[in-house]
Amino acid sequence: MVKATCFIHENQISSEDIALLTSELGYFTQRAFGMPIDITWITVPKNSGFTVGKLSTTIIITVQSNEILAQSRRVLLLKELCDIWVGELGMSINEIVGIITDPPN
Amino acid sequence: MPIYVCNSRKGLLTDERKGFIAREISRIHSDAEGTSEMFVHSFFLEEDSHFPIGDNQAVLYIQFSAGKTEDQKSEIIQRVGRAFQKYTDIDINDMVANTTETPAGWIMEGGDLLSEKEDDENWIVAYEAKEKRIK
Repeated sequence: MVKATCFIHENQISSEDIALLTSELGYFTQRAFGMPIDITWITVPKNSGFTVGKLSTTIIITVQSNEILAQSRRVLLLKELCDIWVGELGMSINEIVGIITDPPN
Repeated sequence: MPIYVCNSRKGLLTDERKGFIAREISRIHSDAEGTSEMFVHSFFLEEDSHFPIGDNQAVLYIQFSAGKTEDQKSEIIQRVGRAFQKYTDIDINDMVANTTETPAGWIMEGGDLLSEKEDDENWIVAYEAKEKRIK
């Protein structure tokens, strides 16, 4: 399994859209890493998420690769990862922080 | 980036105080590094099981982009701790901070790879221009 963690905000994404995203992110990790995703959703309570000190709608998705990635490949995967949110939910790209890490040492 | 996640006991922070502390965190981070505040994210959780509090009143997890000096990290942690003391009744000894570092090249924000330098003016100008176009 490819581990992933995602911060979202309370009432930001419906349970139906969470299911859709989980499915799409699973297809992504299957294509990218040949493995299904194990995603942990962390919901930030209402009025508790800030960017630049102002209430925020930014989501942060971190995916832990199961292999050390060449940087050129990582960039392509990061774009694909962030575009999932824009394509599926119509979010602004500026609301998305995507992180793809190498496996831990 | 950076990402500050505070997991605290229920009722420790009102929504208003979360806002005060988030603004202080943005200012402190920017001051300590001479960088823009625009990338600073602060999330406040209450007794979230993903971030164990243990016997403490609050735990602060900070994910920096890599390249900070120990002095920079120490200064930020101390000043953020004082901000919590200012807006809560928390004893600083009842709060723990953990930090991790992630290479900037592993992070995409606003559709672009994060610059190795958070104060990269070209990156900030491009980001702001894109934000205006979208709005």
